[in-house]
Amino acid sequence: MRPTVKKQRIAYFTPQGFLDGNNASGLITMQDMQAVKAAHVPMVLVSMKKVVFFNKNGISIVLDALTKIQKETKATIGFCDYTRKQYDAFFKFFEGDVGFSLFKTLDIAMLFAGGNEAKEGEENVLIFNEDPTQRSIQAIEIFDKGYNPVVVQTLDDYTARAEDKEKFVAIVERTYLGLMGNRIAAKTRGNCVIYYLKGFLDGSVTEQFDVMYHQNCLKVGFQLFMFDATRVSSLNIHAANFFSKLSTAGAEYGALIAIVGLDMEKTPKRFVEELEDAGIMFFENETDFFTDEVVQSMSGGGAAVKKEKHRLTKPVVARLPVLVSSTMDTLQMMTNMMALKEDMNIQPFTPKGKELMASSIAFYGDIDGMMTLVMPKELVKKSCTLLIGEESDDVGMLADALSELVNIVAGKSKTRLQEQGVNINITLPRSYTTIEDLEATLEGIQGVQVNFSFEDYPFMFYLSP
Amino acid sequence: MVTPKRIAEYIQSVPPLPETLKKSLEALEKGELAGAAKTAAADPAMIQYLKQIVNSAAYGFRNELKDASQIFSALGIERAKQLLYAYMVSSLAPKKWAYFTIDREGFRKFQRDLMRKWEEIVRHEKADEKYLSAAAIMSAGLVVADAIFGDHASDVALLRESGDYDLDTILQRVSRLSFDRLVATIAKKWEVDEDVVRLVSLAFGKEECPPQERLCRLARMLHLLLFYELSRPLMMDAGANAFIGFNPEFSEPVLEEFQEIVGIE
Repeated sequence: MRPTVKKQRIAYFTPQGFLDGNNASGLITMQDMQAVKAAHVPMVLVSMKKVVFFNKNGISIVLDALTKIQKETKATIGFCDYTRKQYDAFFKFFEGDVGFSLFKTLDIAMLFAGGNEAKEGEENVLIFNEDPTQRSIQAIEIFDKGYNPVVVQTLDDYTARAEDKEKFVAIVERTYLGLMGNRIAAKTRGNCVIYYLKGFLDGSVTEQFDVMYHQNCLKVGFQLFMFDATRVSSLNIHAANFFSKLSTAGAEYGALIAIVGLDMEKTPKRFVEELEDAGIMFFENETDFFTDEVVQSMSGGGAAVKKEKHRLTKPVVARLPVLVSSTMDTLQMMTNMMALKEDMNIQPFTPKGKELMASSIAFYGDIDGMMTLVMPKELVKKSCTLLIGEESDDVGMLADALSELVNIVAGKSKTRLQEQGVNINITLPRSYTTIEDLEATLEGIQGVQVNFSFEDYPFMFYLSP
Repeated sequence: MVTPKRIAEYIQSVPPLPETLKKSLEALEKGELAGAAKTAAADPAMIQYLKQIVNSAAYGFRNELKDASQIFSALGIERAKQLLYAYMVSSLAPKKWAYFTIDREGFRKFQRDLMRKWEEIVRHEKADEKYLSAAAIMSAGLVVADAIFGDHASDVALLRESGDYDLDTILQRVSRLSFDRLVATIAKKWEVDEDVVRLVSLAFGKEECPPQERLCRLARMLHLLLFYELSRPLMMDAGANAFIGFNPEFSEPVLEEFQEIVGIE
């Protein structure tokens, strides 16, 4: 069974029915393992939501496959979406030797996988586990992911605190952390990607840092990268070199890298000077960073603008029909509406229509570029009904669904290009809830704009370098 | 993607019962096994199918059953009816499956295992044996799904990469139709007993029904059995596990007994 990839952070298997010794071997095949590896995710989970029966043999077979994935990818592996009875059964089966992780829900797993968007202010997460060691481990992991853990010691305390649901962004209980991956946590806030560092930084930072995720963020237009170093004791020359190289590589995209909260007294002065020479900025705290004039001037824009030396190349333009037809076919499939092509021009991005929403996805490999789909909210609603299940007015939900839609379009393009011998990889999608954000990102760019109409709705496809 | 018009055309294209099969079923209704066998013997393809099924290890007959009269008398009335409907479903199945990665033999094995276990359940529940046909009719769902989604396999694969949608959910969202309704429509076209059609519809696990009612209890068992078979590696590989949505709450009240009957430890 192929996994669903949630927010490019979790490969999520959703078997239905029985996971016993006779049946479990079909769940994760060699091809599925390859698909997981290709997805480069930090977490691989099997959902128990629709598993009605499982036994030790079945779980052991699934774990064999998950462990193979873990060995090669260093991903966190485990199960989620279980009932109390199922949760207890895991411990009964493996009697204190539970090396995998258990997350009560996918949302809780996403906290630990770092797939959520950061909000302003302190984000409290309530944690309760009967085992004090687990409480501590979970609190540390949650803290590492940029949240404020609120740990309660007893069930009574937990019950009382859990009543104030609105005080917490999440409540973590009936969750168990086994061997966790040690990738550096990342979250996004607006146009900024925040990485959370801890301890003494040495050469191992290179292994713990998800380079592919970072590159994807650059390609899709993220411009600000903040390294939260409030929990870093110091760093050595290898870590300093790493940041220096990262900054140089990002310069091509006009990216700004900042280190926030680093203890300057414990950090050798020459490292700081070298990093400043490489273009890295230092701030005492997060507030200073977000209120800085330079940072604020960049907060709406995107890296694509700065890549002056990157223009749409002939090979990309030659594949434009594939990209456009993949987009149209997907939209027609999702809406059961017919698209009419109106015109196509090389031009700066020019929006048409009101209440527009947009989402971009970049691709790289044999050809590089970024596709952006722009349409009115009403058309987003229609296009995403298949994904959401009903028409919704919730902008956040629509933005998420639009990102999924762009992901599907890019997936279709990738398959079709592959058939023509052109190989590409795709980044994570980025959605824009206001058209001004997109305009800022595409400012000064000459791309190809193809205008369509879906019945009465305008639709814009924009291909940029 | 899939349109209601295309689905309507497909359902319309499903043939009614052929004359031989219809007459054979009518004879079975009257309790005339010999007459039913004699009528069925006129259809060599049907006899060939029945021979293949009943002479498999799953049926465990000591001696090979060679002709229609031996087959019908060994099976009895309701099991013979069940197999005639299974033959009808098998005839409707494509030679080359387009959506599910399964072949003719794989599908027949699925049908056979589903029907054999269903027999055990119906007997254990001391239910009317007319309900034996329900498993055969249920298997038609996969054939219908393959016909509807066969041309859209890559679109569905892309959709399923971003969300854990089952085929029934996709079908409902694009056409407001669902497999339980489509299968029921085909069953009615084949003049299947109304109670059996009702049981099959309930066994999709989408309707509320009180567990103490006999038909509901059977429906829960059939829902579980379907997913027991769809959890098999062959069906998992074929992509059939995501055919419809499994409803654990619907199945829960009969789970323990189901495990005992089917022999799951």
